[in-house]
This record gives sequence, C-alpha cells and structure tokens, in this order.
Amino acid sequence: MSETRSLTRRIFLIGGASIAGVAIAGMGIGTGYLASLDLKGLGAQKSDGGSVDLTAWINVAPDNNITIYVPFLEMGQGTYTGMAQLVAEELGIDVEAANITVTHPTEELSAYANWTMFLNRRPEEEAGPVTWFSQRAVAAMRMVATGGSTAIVGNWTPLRQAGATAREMLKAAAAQKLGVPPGELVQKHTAFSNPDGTKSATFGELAELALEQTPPLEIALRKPAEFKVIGKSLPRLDVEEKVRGAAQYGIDVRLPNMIYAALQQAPVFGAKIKSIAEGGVRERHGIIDIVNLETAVAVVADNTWRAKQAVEALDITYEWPDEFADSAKVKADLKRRIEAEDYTRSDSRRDIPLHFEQAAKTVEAFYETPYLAHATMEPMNTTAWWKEDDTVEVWSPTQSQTATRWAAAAVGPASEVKVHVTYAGGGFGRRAETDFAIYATKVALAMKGRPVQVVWSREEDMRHDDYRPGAIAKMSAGLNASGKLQVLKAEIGSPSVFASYLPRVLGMPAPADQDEATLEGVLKSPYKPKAWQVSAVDVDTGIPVGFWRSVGHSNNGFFMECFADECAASAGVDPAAFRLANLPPASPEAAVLKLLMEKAQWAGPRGNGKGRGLAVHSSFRSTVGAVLDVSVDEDKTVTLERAVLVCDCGTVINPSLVEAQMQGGFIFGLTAAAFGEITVEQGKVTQGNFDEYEMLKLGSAPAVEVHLVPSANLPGGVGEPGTPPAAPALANAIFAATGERVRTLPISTSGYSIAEA
Amino acid sequence: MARLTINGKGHDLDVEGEMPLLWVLRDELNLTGTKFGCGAGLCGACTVSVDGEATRSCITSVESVEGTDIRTIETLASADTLNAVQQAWVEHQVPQCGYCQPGFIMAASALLEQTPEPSDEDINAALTNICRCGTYDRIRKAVRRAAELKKGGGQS
Repeated sequence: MSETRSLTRRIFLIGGASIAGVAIAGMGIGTGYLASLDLKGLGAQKSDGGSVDLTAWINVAPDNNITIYVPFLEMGQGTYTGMAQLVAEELGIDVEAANITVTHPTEELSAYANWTMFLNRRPEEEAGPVTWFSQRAVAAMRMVATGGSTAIVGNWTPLRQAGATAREMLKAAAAQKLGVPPGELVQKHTAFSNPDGTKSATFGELAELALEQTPPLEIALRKPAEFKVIGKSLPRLDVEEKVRGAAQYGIDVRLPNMIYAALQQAPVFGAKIKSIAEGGVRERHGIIDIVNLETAVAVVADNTWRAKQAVEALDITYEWPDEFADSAKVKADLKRRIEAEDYTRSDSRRDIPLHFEQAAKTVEAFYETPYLAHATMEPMNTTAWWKEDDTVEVWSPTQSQTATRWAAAAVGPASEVKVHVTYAGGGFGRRAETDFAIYATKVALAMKGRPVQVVWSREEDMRHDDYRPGAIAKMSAGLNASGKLQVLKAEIGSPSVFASYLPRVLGMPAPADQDEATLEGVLKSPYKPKAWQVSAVDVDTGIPVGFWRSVGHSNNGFFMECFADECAASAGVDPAAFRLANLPPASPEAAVLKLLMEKAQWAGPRGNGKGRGLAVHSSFRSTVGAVLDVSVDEDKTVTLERAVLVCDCGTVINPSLVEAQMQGGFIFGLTAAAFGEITVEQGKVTQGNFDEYEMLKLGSAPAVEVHLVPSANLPGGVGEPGTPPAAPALANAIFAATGERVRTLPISTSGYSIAEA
Repeated sequence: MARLTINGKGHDLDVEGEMPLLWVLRDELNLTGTKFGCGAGLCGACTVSVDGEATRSCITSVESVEGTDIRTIETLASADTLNAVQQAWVEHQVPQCGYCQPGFIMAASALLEQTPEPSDEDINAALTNICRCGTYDRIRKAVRRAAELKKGGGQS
C-alpha cells in the first residue's frame, strides 16, 4: 500500500471514506446546489436591529458597535482574540476598543463550516474538482466545529479577506458620502475622514451605504512587513470578564423559570436502566420530577444540589450488558495481536528482516500508555428549553455546534433547534461529543415549556467520558556502526478513536480499517530511514474513546521520542546528537532542536541525581521541542524543575497566546504522564474525582519557558502541539537522572511520585 | 431557613442547613462567578472568602457560615476598577479558559491580605487549586505582581 494513499485515508471522515468519498457524497447532493453554497462568506446583507452584515464575520450596528463572529468555541485557546486579530489586520480597527464585541454566532453559515478539520486541507491548498466537491459537501452540512488546532490554520486567509472586503466596502461608501476620493480618505479605528478631519463618518453611519457597494473581487492583502496587528501580543479580549467572574460558561446560563437536573448514568458501559425505586424521593423539598433516560436517570429540582442529593438516593436497578469492558483485557488483547503480527493494517518499504540482519546493532522496546479522562474544569452540562410550540433552544459549551443541533433535533418532534454556544471551561476534545446535550434535551422534552439545566457531577463526568485510548507499541530499530538508523519498525496497538466517534456522534459508519489517529506522528515521522514498517492493531473494547488534546500524537510522541532516546543510548551517542544525525538536516525538527539546545543550555551541567530529558515532535502543522530538567530522590520522588520549549508554528498571530498554549499543552501532557490513568474493571471506571485522578498544581508544576522560531510560513496549530513532547521529555529525564527506562505511563506505575515544592 | 451575609448584603433563604454554600450562591442567588468543579473540596474552583479566610464553598454547609461575612468574586471589583489581584491577572494575561480563575483570585486575595509579601512556599501552600489549562507559571508571576501593586498603595 502506498504511503500517499494511506495518508489520504486520514481525511476520510465522512462516511468513513476517503476525501474522494466525501466528494462523491457531495456529488450526490447535486452540483447546482453545491455551487450555490457561499463558502467564502464575503457577501453583505441587512441584519437585525438595522445592523448590517459585511461578510459572514463582521456586523456593523447603526450606533457604530461592531460585532465579530467567531464560529469556534472559546475554550481557553484564545480563538476569540486570534481570530479578531486576523479581521482587524485588514479592517483597520482596534479590537480592544469598547465598541468591538466578539461572540459565537448562533446561525450556522456554510462559510463557517470547518472543512479544514474534516478534510485536513487548508484554504491555501485548495485545488481540483475532488476538493471542490468535498469542501462543499462539508459546507452543505454546515459542520461548524472546533478541533484539530484548525481555527487559525483554516482562517488565516479567509478572515483577512473578510476584513479587507468589509473595509473596501466601507471605504467606497465613505468616498460617496463624504465626497472625498477613496485614495484621500483617512481611517481612524471605525471611522473615515477627509485628510484635514473636517468631514468624517463612522462605520455605523456608512454601513447601509456600504451594502450598495460592489465588493471588489481581488484585494491584495497586507504583506508581513506591513502587519500592524498580526504578530502582536494583544491582551485576550475575554480577560477582564474572566477575572471578574462575569464570563458566562455553559453552567452559568440562567433563564427565567429555569429548573435544574442531576444525572445518575448507568455505571457500567453498555448497561441500561431496568427499574427505579423512588422511595419517597419525589416528595422531597424542591423535587419536580424523575425522568428515565434509558441509560441514565435524571432528577429535576429547583436547584442542582437538591437534584443531586435526590438522584443519589434513588434505588436504581440495571440491565447489564452481555460483556463487561475491562481495560487490562484491552491491553492484553492488543499485546497478543502485536505478538501474532495480526495487523489491522501494515505499511512498509524495503526488505525489513534483511535490514535487521544487516544492522550493526538492534534495539527493541515495548511501551504502554493508559486510558485518560479529559477532566475539563467545567463539568459537562447543557441547558435546553423545549418550548410548547416544539421549537428548541440549547445553550451548550460545545465544540460541535452543528452536531449538537442534529442530536437535539433527533430527541423528539422538534420543529426548529437553535444552539447557542457559550464559553467553555476547558474542552480538550471532550466537548466534541454530544452526550451532554442529548441528555439535557431529553430532560427538557420531558419538562416541556421550562428551560432545564443539566449539570454532571465530577464523578459522572470522569466515569462517563469518551477517553483517550490507552495504547501499546513495540518499537524496533537497526543501527549501523556509526549510530545511523537503517531500519525502523513501529507496531502500534490502540482502540480506534474514529471507529468510536463517527457512529456515536455523527451517525456515520466506522472507517473500514485502522484510522490514522492511531498512527499519526509515526507514519510521517521524520526519523524514518529508507527501510521502515508501520503496523497497527485494533480491538473492540466496549470503552468509548474520543479526541483528547493532540489525539494519537499524545501516545505516539511518547513512543517515538522515548525510543529515539533508547537508540541514542544504544549507539552510545548524546540524545540530541543522535536526533540531529538522523533527522533530515533541513527539517523543522532539526531546526527546532538546534535552537532548543542553545536556549535550554543542553550541554550545561546537570548535577547529581538530576536529569535533562529531550523530545521533539511535530503535530497539527507545528513542531515543538522540549527539554525538561528533573531531580530524582532515592525514594523515586521526582521534582519537575524547569522546562524549556521551542515552537515552530509558522507565522505567529499572537506570541503571548502561543506561549500560553505551549505552557498549557505541556503541563497537560506532564500531568497525564505523572498521574493520569483511567482503569475499567467489570465495566466500571474506577476513578471518580481529583483525589483518584490527580493534577499537577502550582507547587508541583515546573516553570515553562517558551521560545518561538521566527517564521514567515503559513501558520500552524498551537492548541495541541505542546502536549506530545511532555511525556517523553519526562521519561527521558528520569532515565538521564536514574538510568531507569520508564516505558509505561503514568510514571507512578514504576513507583515514581511527583514532589510538591 | 438560613440567614447569610453575602457581599455585605443580608439574605433570608429557604434552604436546608446542610446545603453547600456553593449551590446557594449559584442557584439561589445567581452569583455564578463562584464555580463548581469537583464537589469535594479538591479543586478550589468554588473558593470564596468567609471572614477573610479562603474557603471551599462546595464543602461548606450553609449552617456553618451563618453570621459570617461571605465575599465572592463579584465583590472584588467596582464597575471600573479591578482589585490588585485582578489587575495583576490581567497584566500577566493569566486566564485561558478562565473557569478556575475566580477560585485562584479569591485564594490569592486572601493570601495577600494575611501575608503581604509571600514566599514561594507561602504561595504554593495557599494556592492548591487546580487549573487544567496549566496557567501556573503566569499565576505565580501575577501573585508577585499583585503583592507589589498592593504595597505600592494601589487599589486594594
């Protein structure tokens, strides 16, 4: 199987097919209809309250208040600010000014469809009929969604075009209204004037007239040397409301006459509710109703606490599934299939056994990672209001606005569903799911006429997640006498994320064979010598798995970068030197590594009981290298002393936001490597709260210093790429300090604990 | 029935004595700046001030705080002036998702009232909250900056 073909399979997504499959799906919709879809969103129209939409992203009100629509969930990554900066660069406005508001749009326009994520193509690459059909198929479904570190990647050009289009229309209107040639107009924030400032008009005053202007077809966008907003560390636009406690998350939605519900979900995956013994619970103070949701019971009350107390007091019996999921069994099955070479798919180049025979040295290692929960700080919740006329409104902190609308509409005979996207207290992939919206909408239907907020307890959240799959890897390599990789073999076992997610959330079939998430970061590894084999095995598990910050990279970065360290040690070469010798000299990984060695003083002194660990990994169109310094006591207590990160994410929109994402992504990965493990026994998740699923804290987290590689390349993603290097940097640092290889995560499995400073 | 003094205002509430303060704030009074994170006193998202002490409201019963002075995140700033801790949080651009930050800000405000010049150890001991976005680096810097701002006679 050719690598090119296997790589395009990543793109499948819709119908579990390839991008061509998406295109075929598009053809089924009809060329005429597809051609009519507005993918660019550069048109203008009248909107509510006398305001005017100048493109799909910019609304101008008569009072000169400007709204920028960001169809991506603000879940901490700073998308409100980054996207607004792209618009502002060309629109020429000061986004921090009081008359600028950024918000999530409720309307799902085809221009908002995230085909970059679904097709793994960015607008700058768009070309050809297959792409034409597949983009429009995604747009026809709207598919407003946040994930895959794609907001900036997919909108780098479109949002600047939108800003420029709106500016040109306003400018043409100003020229007409003020009787000044366009070339002489002076723009100051949201107003145009003549050169001496005696005549001026605000955007608000010009908006109606702007509608009558013909938007220019081609506008030359500013060149990097001319950027005024892009590349600046503007303060986050949501920072003040967040420090005031005024930002409204999903859990903060308050509506007139609203009631609250708590859930008790069937504790075993695949179990259903058999019976509910109410035992007087219904008579308790504030209890409004008890609703059987088939896989959960909801108690509706006049506040969340009463609902929770009541649902926990119910005596519920369950109908158990035929088989009980077990995470240890999943690992054993994966291991057995790898040993039997019972691959779901396998790609290779050249004669692998021959190259191993000819190698001067061979290295082999077996790695293992656990299932992980997302544990967003804001537990899963949604507020739904099923009105008497069967129109439905949903308020949800969701990464999947469109999928949420579909899911809510499928709950009952809804005539119309509107999804309001709120701020989210973390997402990390968990909010790409729709389970929390479905439960809330079901309760709302039962409580028709009253808005209901359903908030999950922390335990419900942790025990009913869609987990990052645990994975195992058998890594083998052959080196020549000078420590150059001659052959690399990676056999990776992991439950398939897409096979779990697609049927569950989008009602689409699972991919035909192993999805690429299992192999991302391995198939395209820059270390690959001419002879290589990448194989995958999969098993059915009964444990739902989903997207988790950096998805397969979170496993594969650990496998690849720990193994690179093992190969270096086997060759008797410094870990950084080994990587530089085996990475293509012109690769971004090599460039990042060189800068990292300098910034982290790689060659500097380490001291007794101290270790310096290294990892470099590319994901989501960016490359991140990390050096972590640790000290390890005799009782295996690890102090995380200092981390230095170097990130090449192409053109940087906002350095402060990128730094924050790098720090956050790295701490997220370190937390998982230090503590994170979800185990499933007898179909139940063992862990329930933060005492059993621990987190790094202020006193245990290292300082994280971030350096950005100056670049004029197209921007890459930043939300996820900081995570994959964390676990291998930690394991490699522990090896450097102790001589012991930690091949199983979390490190606590090997007896290591984290020091609280 | 319970009588609570919250942000300087008295409230008569028809709630059970064992109801955690968190849910009175959020669901009875719509003071939603105080967050629910774990319900077990483990994450600190629900931190409020009770007689000046940082207190995890999800495990604090209403009956245990009758007659005390309860302060929430909503009371720290006036319409146009943030308190020193909030100012420092803005200066250092601390929040990402921001969900845990009211709890951190309440804990840091209480710390600086009691220990105006905290050591690293003091900060670590007082701020045991969880931030899932990993903003710890900036939190530490912001606490130091807030101490400076307070010392400099800026806004409380």
